[in-house]
This record gives sequence, structure tokens and C-alpha cells, in this order.
Amino acid sequence: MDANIQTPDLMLADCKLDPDIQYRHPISPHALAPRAACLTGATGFLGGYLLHELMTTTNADAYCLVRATDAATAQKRLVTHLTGYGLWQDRFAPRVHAIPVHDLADPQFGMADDAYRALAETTDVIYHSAGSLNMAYPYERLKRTNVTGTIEALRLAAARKTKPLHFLSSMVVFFHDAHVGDPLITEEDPPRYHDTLKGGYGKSKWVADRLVGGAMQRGLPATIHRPVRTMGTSATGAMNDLTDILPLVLKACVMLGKCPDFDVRVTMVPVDYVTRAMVHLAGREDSFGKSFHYFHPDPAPWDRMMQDIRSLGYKLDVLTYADWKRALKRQSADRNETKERREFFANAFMATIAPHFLLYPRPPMTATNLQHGLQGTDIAYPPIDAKLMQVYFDYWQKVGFVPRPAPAA
Amino acid sequence: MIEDTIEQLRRLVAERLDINRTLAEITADAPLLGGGLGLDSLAIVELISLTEEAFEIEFGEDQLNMESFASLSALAAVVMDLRAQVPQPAE
Repeated sequence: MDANIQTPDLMLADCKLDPDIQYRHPISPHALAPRAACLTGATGFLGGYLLHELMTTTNADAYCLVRATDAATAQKRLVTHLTGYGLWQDRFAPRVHAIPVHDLADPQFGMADDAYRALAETTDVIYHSAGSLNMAYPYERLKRTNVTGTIEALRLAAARKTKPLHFLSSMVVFFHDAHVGDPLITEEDPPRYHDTLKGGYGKSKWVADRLVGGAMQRGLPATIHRPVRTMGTSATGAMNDLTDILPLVLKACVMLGKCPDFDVRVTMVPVDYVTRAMVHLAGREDSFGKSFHYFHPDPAPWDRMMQDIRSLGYKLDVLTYADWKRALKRQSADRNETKERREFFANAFMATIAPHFLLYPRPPMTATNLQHGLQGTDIAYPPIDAKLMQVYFDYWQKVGFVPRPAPAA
Repeated sequence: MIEDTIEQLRRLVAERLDINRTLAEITADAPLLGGGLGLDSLAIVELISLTEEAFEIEFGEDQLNMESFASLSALAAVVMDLRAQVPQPAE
């Protein structure tokens, strides 16, 4: 790569969809009630729930692109992944087809011509949820998975027959200065560019979101889904990726026994809400060409969330934000602490200076398309309350992410 | 002079942080995180403490962001700014 090309130029250039990708073939006749769905990211957090949803609420077979050297290994990874969330049922096996791929960013996913052609002819719809969620990597490093992988998914959507593509984006595409002053962000607003768009992850999702938008303009029936902070379900709380800022900050609070006096409301979306909505919306023709926003309609005030966590038995003294950060810094420099704990406190401290920290101002958003599309269903957000915090903390204790509260004296 | 500040920071990183880099490798514009100097969170927090101590300053909300830790020259500019702020007289 030419070292003189700056990331913004690179990003804007990357938004231009290859002119060879055109949606001239007729749309699959089974686009709304698919016989076969191609799923990327099935071994990811949301992707696993998506596969479960496809198995339980549709008749489709799922063709899952999985990074592996052979089909048996790929299938095993899928089963292990879903089993880990308590989602696997043996009756799914005949309908789940794991396709081993070298890398989603390789042309044709690195598949042989005949296998790729068969996939393009068989599948009626694509769910593209694969992506690398790493807040520390620069754009250049995330581009392969998050941008080039999306281009390959858009190419598959055009091959042999046109198939709708349902794309998992992120609300992060709006969290920068191009939108922060907006009176309202609706699902009709395209995410605009601004050089305060920070962090490689946000940049890569922004470019991918724009690419899917570009494909829609070329006639691809597609949907874009933008959740903010996907968490575990309200039933189990299970999550494998605990690097999000909220679990990290909550863990830091209970480990310090101290919390900051934030004046914010915390939003989050349970993973199964998103996957149930995605599969439901994919079955409605009026969803095509639309974006859908996922954010909790009643975000929790920070101090109430702290009270909810105290009710679980944790001590949480309130400090000013500056003092709380000093406490994090002090613990990470404390030679009496174990290396592991020092590293954790240092990571938590660094998280407070990362882009999109909890205090980052969020423009008000609407989710009219989503509300309209979910009318008449029982898909609803659980309240962010003590009960939900209990489910999350029970799970976090079980997997050793957070300590159990000290017994009352 | 910013060059002096950069020089001091280079020595801090070379001598006080536990990283496998020689002074020659620690350049003013190498990214601190990731591919450049490869500082992890623990090393960055340590660098913050060492810098505060050496220059008798304290980083505030305005300085604690990723840009400040992009490189040693970026960090030096922040240090110079903080040093230039005349201490407020007591009541």
C-alpha cells in the first residue's frame, strides 16, 4: 500500500463498488420464503443466534461459510459454537451445511468455481453478519474482513440469480461529528463522512454500510440492520465477546468497589431481539431498500443501573469521574496487584479514552421502519432493570468474568 | 523546545518501560500502539504516570484521548501545552 495515501482517501475510494457487480439477473423466486439461506459469521455471537432463528422459524437450509480447512471441521465448529450458547439441537443437523472457506475476503471466498457456482445457484437469500469487532485495530487491518468480505457477499448476491442480502451493520456509523449535531437520525439518513469518524472498526463498518447502500441503488433488494451494543439474551445473558465498553466498565466498577458519577443513560440491545427481527423483516417485501435501527427505547439511567448492581450484593461507592479514573490508574500501577488484574485495570483505563466511550454524545435516533416492520409480532425489548442485570451478572460470574460479591459481614 | 521534550520521552520509554525496543527504534513519529512501538494498555498507563511525574503535570479529560498517544511527538505537544498553562494562584 502506498504510504502516502491517508486513511480518509482510502476509505472514500473503498466506498466505490466494483462496476462489475450488477444485479441484472432475476430475483430468486424464493427470496421471501427461502429454501436455502447463505449465512456468514455463523460462528460469531450474533451469527450463531441468527442460525438458530433460521432453524426454528423458517424452513430454509442454512449454508454457513466457516473458516476451516475441511467440511467436517467447519461443521464441528458450528455445532460447538451453538452448543456453547445452548442453541444447538440435533434435529438441525440435516439443514445446516457448513462450507469451509479460507477467508471471506478472498475472491469467491476462495471457493473452487464449481462449488461457488453451486452456492450461487442454490441460495435464495444471504445473511451477512461476519465481521471483525476489534476496537483497537486500525482501518487498514480491519478492511479485509469488514469491507472486502462485504464486497464478496455483494458479489455472491449478484451471481447466477439476484438474492436479497441482509446486512449486519452497526449504529457506530453515525457516532461522529457529521451526525452528532443532527436534531434526529432516522433510518432514511445515509451515514455521512466526517474526519472525526474514529477508530478502525467504525471506519470499516461505515465503508461496508455505504457499499451495501450503493448496491441497493444498483437494484439489490437488501436490508441494513444497525444495532447499538448487542448484549446477551434476557434469558441466559450468554456472550462470548466481553470486550464491549459496558461489560468492561461494569467489571471495573465491581472490582474497584467504586463507580463513577456518570450522568448518562445506558442503551443496549439483546442479541435475540436483533436476530428475531432480522429474520422476520427478511420475509417482508416492504423491508427491501430499508435500514433498521436497534436501540433500547428506555435506556437505563446510570445511577439506577448502579443501584441495580448494588442490589446483587456488590459494594459501589460513588466517585467523581476524574477520581474514578485515578483509581483505575492507581490499581494498574500497584505492584501488589497480580499482573492479570493490573492489565485489566489498564485496559479499563484505556477504554475510557477510546472513541465511543459511554459518555460520547449520541444524537437522538428513530426506528420507525423497525417499529412498523415488527407490528403484530411479540418481538419486544426487555426492560434494562435489576432483573436483566442479575441475568448478566449471573452469567459473568459463572464464566469468571466478574468476581462474586463479597459476603455481607 | 519540543525536540527536548521528545528526547526526554524517548528516554523514558527506552529506560523505564518494559518493552523490547532500543533507543534508536523509538522514533518521534512511530505509533505507540499496535504495529509501531507495540505498547500495550499497561505500558501506556505506565507511560502516562511516568510522564506526569517527570514533567510535573496531570493529564485531564481534554488530553486523555487516543490522539495524545498517537506518537511521542503528539504526546510531547500535549506535555508542552500542559506545561505552558500557568498554574492558577490559590484563592
